[in-house]
Amino acid sequence: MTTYWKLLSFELRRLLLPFCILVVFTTVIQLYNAYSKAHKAVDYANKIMKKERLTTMEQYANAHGYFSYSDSFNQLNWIIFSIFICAAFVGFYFVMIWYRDTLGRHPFMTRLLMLPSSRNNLYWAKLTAPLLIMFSLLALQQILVPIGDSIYSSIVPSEARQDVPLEFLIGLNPVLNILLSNSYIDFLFYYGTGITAVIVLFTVILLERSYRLYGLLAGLAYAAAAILLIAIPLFLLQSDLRYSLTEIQLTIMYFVIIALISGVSAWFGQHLLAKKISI
Amino acid sequence: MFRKYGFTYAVLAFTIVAVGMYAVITGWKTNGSPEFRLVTVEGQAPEGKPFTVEGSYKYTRSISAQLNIGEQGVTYEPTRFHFQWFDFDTGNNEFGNTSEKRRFMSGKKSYGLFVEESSMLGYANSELIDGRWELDVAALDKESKKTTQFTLQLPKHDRVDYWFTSAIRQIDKSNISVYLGRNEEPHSLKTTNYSQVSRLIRLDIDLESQSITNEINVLTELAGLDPNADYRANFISFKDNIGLIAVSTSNKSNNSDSAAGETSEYYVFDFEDYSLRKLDIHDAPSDSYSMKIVDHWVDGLSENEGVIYYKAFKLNDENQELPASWKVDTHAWGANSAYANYYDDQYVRITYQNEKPSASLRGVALVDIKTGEVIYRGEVETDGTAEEQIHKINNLSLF
Repeated sequence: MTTYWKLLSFELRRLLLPFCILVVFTTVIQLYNAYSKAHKAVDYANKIMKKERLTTMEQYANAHGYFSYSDSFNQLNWIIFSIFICAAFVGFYFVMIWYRDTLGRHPFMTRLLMLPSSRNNLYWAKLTAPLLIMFSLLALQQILVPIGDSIYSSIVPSEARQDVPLEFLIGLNPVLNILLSNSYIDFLFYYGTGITAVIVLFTVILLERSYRLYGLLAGLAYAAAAILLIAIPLFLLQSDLRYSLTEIQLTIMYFVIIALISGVSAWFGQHLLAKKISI
Repeated sequence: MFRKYGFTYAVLAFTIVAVGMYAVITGWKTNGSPEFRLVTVEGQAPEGKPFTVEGSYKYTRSISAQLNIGEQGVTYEPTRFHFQWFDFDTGNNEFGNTSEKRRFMSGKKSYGLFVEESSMLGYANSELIDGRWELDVAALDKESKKTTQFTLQLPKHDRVDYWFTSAIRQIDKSNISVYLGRNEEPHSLKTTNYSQVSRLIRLDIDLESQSITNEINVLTELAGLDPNADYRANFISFKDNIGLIAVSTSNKSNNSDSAAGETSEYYVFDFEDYSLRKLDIHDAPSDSYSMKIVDHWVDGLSENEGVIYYKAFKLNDENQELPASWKVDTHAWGANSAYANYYDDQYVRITYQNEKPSASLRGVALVDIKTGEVIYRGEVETDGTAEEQIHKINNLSLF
């Protein structure tokens, strides 16, 4: 456990700089988005009021409609862009976390593999470090939505503003809708699928690192088989057996499938790391 | 120690926040939704389940939330997307409440018509395949457990735009009737406002020979309506072996494109003996009725400028007692418009409102169908200043 903790801290420290950059980048982009949308709305209203000789924001709203922070959620915008950048980095790092240690003339992996403890600790540290970073970015996202809403509300006067609960703001945006899913089942569904995909990806990488080209081919075949297994409920729904299982039974079946795939892949990955990997 | 593991602790704390927020997030995220409650004005709601009224609250032009308001307050329906394996199949999930029925549903279109008869499960679905209308038919004999499934070409007709299935009835072990609506172009756009008219067609189908044995235009054959007349016909209510058919016509006034109004006639169709009887609504106060078959009569509800009318119509010529007609004038409650629907077999629910900014009002009443007596009336209240209350009530619609 101590070794795992030390390795996890080590992996996380390596992620400190990119994590800080992503936090600053996402925060600046999303809060500036709220600030600029609000100022644009107020400037536009002032322009129209001057042109039409309206004296109050209320008159403007009655004549031309209200402003809402929700207007910036139902379209492709800076919010989605910042999320995409974070997701792209985390996705890239899931691959990089192995290759940065195994490539080069004096790979760092040799030192890691020589540690006097189970190599399983290394596997789990490398798996959990980027996942923890991903969840931290998710927490940041949960905080940024209400802060952005507050900034918008503080700039656009209430007479010309229609407030929308955060639930709707999140629901309007297809990406936030999945990232900040509104039930534990949905959360387990999306993140369970994502984590399973990462574990399978690790297995493919470790196969490649163990057997090079043949390993890569085997890994791709393994990943294809995993995708086919995961898609069993979808195949069922498209077949004559569409109604053979109920909604709950299909959900349980799906969770059993991803648990099996995760379990087998994690075991296989650890086996490769312990017995087969070559630097 | 902290310097060495500080970032790890921070990341773990963030992760706990991310996951832990799901426990408290519902309240946090719905913060900002107005509070409403139903306050009793007169009478008492029926005992049993707590009385609530459904509605919607409009936040912006494009964002609104479905809600339920009761004496205890308001509950908002989930608005967010939920992952579902059977998207849009809710109705058929209700049909598929036994393993036998779910097995029967296998391999069939979720949007097709599924019915359960005493000794049969039936399925029919019409679809346009390569320019030809086809009808998928399936029937399961509950006794022999034998399932028959096949596809038929629907009869060719000029002007046909669309076929849709309305009802399936078993005639005997090897024959069924499928009732379909057939949408067509009208014969003359000069005389009707409808861009499409619809006929009610009965197809008798032999399950053994897998063929159509008879095609009947129900209203032409049984009611003597002109086969070329431009009308819209469809089933609006079923009970046991009886179906209620609404036939609407919308004629243009002479030498003018303007509408002369829509008129509706109602027919009672007996699936057992194929008899059709026109419902006598000559003394009805309004043409736009909401009709429902109840026992041996048809309940009819209509609304005209804030006044709700109720009248019962006889299903047959037998001399049976009918509930008395009644009307409720919601102007007496300060309303300027109202809408009525059936709460259950015993009560009618009237939702009423006044949208004048000075007298913003939303209320609901329950009326005993048999007596016309208002047994309960409640009005929606909310919090805030007078201005805020008016704003919130104005954005609320009750169903």
